[in-house]
Amino acid sequence: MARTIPSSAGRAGGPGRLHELALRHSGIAVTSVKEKLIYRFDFFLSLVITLITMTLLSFLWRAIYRNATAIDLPFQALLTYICLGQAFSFNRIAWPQRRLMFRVGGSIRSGNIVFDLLRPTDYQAMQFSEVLGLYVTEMALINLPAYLFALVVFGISPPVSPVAAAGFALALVGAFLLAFSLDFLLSIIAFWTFSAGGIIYGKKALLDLLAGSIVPLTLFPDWLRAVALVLPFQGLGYTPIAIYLGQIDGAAIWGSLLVQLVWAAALVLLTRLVWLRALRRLVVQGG
Amino acid sequence: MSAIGERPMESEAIIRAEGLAKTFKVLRKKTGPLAGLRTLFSTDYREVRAVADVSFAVAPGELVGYLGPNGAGKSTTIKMLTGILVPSGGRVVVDGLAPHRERARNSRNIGVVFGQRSQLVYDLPPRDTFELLRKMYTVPRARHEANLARFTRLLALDEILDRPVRLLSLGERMRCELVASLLHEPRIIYLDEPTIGLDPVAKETMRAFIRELNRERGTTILLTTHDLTDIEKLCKRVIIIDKGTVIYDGTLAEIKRRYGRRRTITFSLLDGAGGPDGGLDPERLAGEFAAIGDGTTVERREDGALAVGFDPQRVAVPDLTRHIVTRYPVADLTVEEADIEAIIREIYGAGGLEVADGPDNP
Repeated sequence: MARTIPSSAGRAGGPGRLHELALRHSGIAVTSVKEKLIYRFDFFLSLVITLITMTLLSFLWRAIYRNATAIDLPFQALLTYICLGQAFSFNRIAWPQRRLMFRVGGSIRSGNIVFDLLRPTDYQAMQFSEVLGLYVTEMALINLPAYLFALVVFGISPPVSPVAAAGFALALVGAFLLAFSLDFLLSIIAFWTFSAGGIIYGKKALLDLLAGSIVPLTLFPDWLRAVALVLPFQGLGYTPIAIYLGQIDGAAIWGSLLVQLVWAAALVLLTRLVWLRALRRLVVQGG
Repeated sequence: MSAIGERPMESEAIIRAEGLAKTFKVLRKKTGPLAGLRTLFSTDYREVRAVADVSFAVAPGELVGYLGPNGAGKSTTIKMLTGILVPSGGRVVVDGLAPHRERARNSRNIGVVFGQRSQLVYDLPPRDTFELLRKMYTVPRARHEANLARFTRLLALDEILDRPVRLLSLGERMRCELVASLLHEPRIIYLDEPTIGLDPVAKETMRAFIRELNRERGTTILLTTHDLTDIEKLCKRVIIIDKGTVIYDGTLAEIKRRYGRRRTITFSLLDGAGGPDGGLDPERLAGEFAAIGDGTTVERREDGALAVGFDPQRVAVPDLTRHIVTRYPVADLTVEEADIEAIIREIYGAGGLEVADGPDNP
């Protein structure tokens, strides 16, 4: 009997491949969103928590400003900064942030990862699409409503210019890349250290400080600001907000977007290496 | 035990394993500060041999039972056939591909069900997983709908398709797992304990479907199971492995012919007879029955009954029966033909000539 060519061999490359890829990854993203929308209440609670924290921080800063004499940041700018930090936070403990932590380690431990590895697609790319879907959902259900709330209720300022608005949007994309690779990296570490819970909260505490979304980096002591500015975490909070406010403007916008992008690329690369090592361990050594 | 049976011609084989071996390097976990991180980059291993030397070939359209006791290396073999484990020795070719080198391409040719794992999205109805798989494997919509309709009819899925997976019974879920592995129309299916934990009716549904899949579609199926009824009802050919090596490869009929001559006399004692240790010292019993005829074995079952296995050509049934009823206060006695389970137990136990006893029996 003559060997027949396997059915898969004939599949087209080129644009067909691209279409396949788009279909596959939109499917992955849509499914993960659908799955988590079962927990609508969870998203709603995240919004409520965001609004409460935002209100609390604005009261706190109002009190500080009433008694302070030498803060060289106008109150309106500070209020806008703080509210944006809460509305466009990449540091909540909500589905987009928790997802990887539970999914990667959980499926390795339970062994269900075998099915993910059996798919005709890259595991990490699959996780990327899942998390992207969740961040887009978070943007629609939490970030934008919280932003509108801040505009209407607290009267925060709009972006200083159309360029600032565009830069802000681009910086959010960069921040997402940073957040994804950081979470992916941590979820692999969590798997090996059996400490997902601790890592989630540890990361939150560290980023609350170093992303500069609760206290603006400009108000940090010089040495701490210097430290924060050489680390990648500023890209998750300070970079987009400072662009929005015009604290970073003109050519400096491109500079800071570039720094963010370079960091994101470096972290994606590092994550990729760690993952390939972990995968090798899985497929060669069996876990 | 030698390998016999109808081995497919080399050129015909759709699955071929030659001297397949898998040695796991198990990492010694680090302790102390940053243990996890250091473990990640550690190279301190201990070796565990899961599969030592496995060779077999499966022809297109065959339905082969792959048996072996727990830890024999069945799942490891299957994982190597799917490409998610890299063999540490030997060769695998599945439908012309080396699975671990071309995992993505291979994944389009195969479907896998792991009875103890799930590929369904837990919080969503199975229909959503199926739709995701349609996109994952780019199955044209019309084709997908037709397949799903057919599976729905064969497996009675109407009421299940739109219920979240977490609300499904195990039997319902397993039917969906099976569908999930088939939607991209693979030529080869690996079923790793697909009936585990199912009730008899659910098992029968699964079996009927597997049989139909094999007969109507000519799908090649490799089935591992601990339920020998699965094997009897589905497989002509079985491969048995133990400690990572093939110890039998042939027809089920041949196994029965070779080992199925044995009979078992099972008898229980009157209540209270024999006392706490029952005078049923295993060694004494083994000696006593071995003296009656070569190859006679005694086993004490969980319910306390004694099972004497023997070869009726060497020991006459009446003689053995008489021996038992004159020596022991017998409450009940039956003579059984060896079923496949007993045969397999014997093959696994490499003869089983000792008194096989639980630790809490005397």
